[in-house]
Amino acid sequence: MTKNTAIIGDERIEIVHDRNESNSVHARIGDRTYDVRTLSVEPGVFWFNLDGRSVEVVVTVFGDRYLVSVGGQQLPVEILDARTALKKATQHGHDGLIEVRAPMPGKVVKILLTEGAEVNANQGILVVEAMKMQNEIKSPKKGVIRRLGVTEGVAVNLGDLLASVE
Amino acid sequence: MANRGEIAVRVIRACREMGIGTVAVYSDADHGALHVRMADEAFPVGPAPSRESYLVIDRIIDVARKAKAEAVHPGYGFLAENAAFAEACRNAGITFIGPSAESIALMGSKVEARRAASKYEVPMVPGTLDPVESEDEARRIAKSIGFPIMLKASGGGGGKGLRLVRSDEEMESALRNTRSEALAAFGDSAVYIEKFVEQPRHVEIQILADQHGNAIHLGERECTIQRRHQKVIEECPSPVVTADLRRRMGEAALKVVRAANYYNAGTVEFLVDKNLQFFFLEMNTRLQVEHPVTEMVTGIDIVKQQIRVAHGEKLSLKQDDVVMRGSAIECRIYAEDPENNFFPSPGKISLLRTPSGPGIRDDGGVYEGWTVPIDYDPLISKLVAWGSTRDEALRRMQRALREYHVGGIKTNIPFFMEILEQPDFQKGSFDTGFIDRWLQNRTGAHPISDSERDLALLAAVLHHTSRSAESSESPAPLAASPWKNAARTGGLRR
Repeated sequence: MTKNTAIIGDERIEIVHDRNESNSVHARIGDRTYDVRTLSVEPGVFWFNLDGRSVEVVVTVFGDRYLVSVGGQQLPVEILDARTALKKATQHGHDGLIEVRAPMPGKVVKILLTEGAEVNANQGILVVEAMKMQNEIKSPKKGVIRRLGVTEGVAVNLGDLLASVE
Repeated sequence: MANRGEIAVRVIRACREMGIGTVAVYSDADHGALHVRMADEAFPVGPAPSRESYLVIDRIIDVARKAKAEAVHPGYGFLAENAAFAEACRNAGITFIGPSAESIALMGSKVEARRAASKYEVPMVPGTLDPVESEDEARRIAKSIGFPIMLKASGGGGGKGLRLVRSDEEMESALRNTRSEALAAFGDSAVYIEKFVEQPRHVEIQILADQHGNAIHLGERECTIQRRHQKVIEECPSPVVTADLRRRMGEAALKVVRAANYYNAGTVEFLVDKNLQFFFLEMNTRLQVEHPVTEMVTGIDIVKQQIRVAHGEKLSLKQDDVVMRGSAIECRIYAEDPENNFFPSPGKISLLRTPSGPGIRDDGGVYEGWTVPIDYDPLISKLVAWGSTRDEALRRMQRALREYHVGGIKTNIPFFMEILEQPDFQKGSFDTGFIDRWLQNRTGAHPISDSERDLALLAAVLHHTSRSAESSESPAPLAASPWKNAARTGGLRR
């Protein structure tokens, strides 16, 4: 039996799953339970048979999350297991510190605030440019910029640490 | 092939079918790009920024000379509508696959284009032919044609340098802002005035003309579905254009061809108002992104026609040979995030499953394992569906979008799934503001069923579990080590 937490948007969902035989999974997802037949068709491509209904799901790595496509939709999902939850806790230090990570690869073209500056929720911290479009990266909460992980002109990858706000 | 991405691949395919050898150019960011892999020869032209590579005329000409290329296809964007490039090709004795430098220059200036078209009595939106000199003049003209009016940069395009003015009071700041925007974007502050057509549709006519005075049109494309003045879905034929309207618009387009002394493939853009009156907007002197919908419906390969015409051949087709059969629709698949204000989502494509089956054409420029660079337009593919009716084409497109999987980056595929379900879209009842209005009222991503969402989460858990199992067997860490990260960011801070 394996326990995980999925984070999708603002929601945290507990998932417990167990492989009965090689092709079958029993799972409790939130408050619903499922018995599904499944096959990993190729890496990241999962086929499910749920009470005769055939559903295919494609999962790829997307920064520190997963991008899951189903029925023509794409959902970014973060999966925490015992190990990643611990790692995350160490990285975060304590609850008050929030890390702002690059939502896409690009180039840091402007830094709007300095370390130690006070910041309001939704206030811009820096500007990342990709494909000639500029995206202002905003603070997730009111607080103080504890650390800037980047300087102007550097290239960043998806998921790189841009700043931490306390 | 003086271009990159899907259009370079498209042209290389036409050349290969015609038995013509191909030479690709590439920037440092496109080392190993699909167009580079597919071409017979490939030469680097400089660093990633396009102004240091794909836009440097001398470098492109140097490659053409070195490779002993007989002709250059400019694609769209980059140097495609650059008269100086067409001129440089001519001076170097290389055939430019497109119109003359003079036609490009004439149609490149919106004011000059309007002036030329007006001599041939092409219907035009009421407005000025000359740039407005003063605020007083702007007010006087606006009053005579009636508000609302549009201010437009003479050298503009791509939705930039446009401003809607609803009243006299708005004129001063609108004129000032449009001028400074025009100067910044196009290096020319000239601005002209047009009456604002309410609830317009954007319909364009594809033309083909040879260097012997023969010209035909290949019917229309419906390009009304735009987001912030950028086309996202195109169709052929338009759901509102009748055979009679098509004939009249086609004739008007051919007048513009004569006015511009134009040869090769080109597109004449019109606004169509709610009473199906049409007005000349501008001419695009190049191959359009959306040319495949016309190809699917007419069966004519426009790129091959371009090459033949550039080679000096007479058009082998007469107007009566152009027969439209069925209906086609195109979705521009972009590496962008519809849930984050359509911000580009470049990065490595870790998984790619493209759709196929009856009536489907996928003109892609990427492959699984390719990293979409941050430096260029985020178009990764054009997905086209053909059907015997518009309804069949739409259903095929929906089916194909469900078969399309791109992993590792976000795409606008979910956005298309939603638009295609809108009743007004399905009825063909829309204007150019359709998408922007719809997005304003949209509350969030399209809901999926609980069981689909749960299976999505379960799949993510199963994938995560198998990755963790693999990584605990091998010495490589699952993600970059926090120690390395700290050292790296520490290094950057110094």
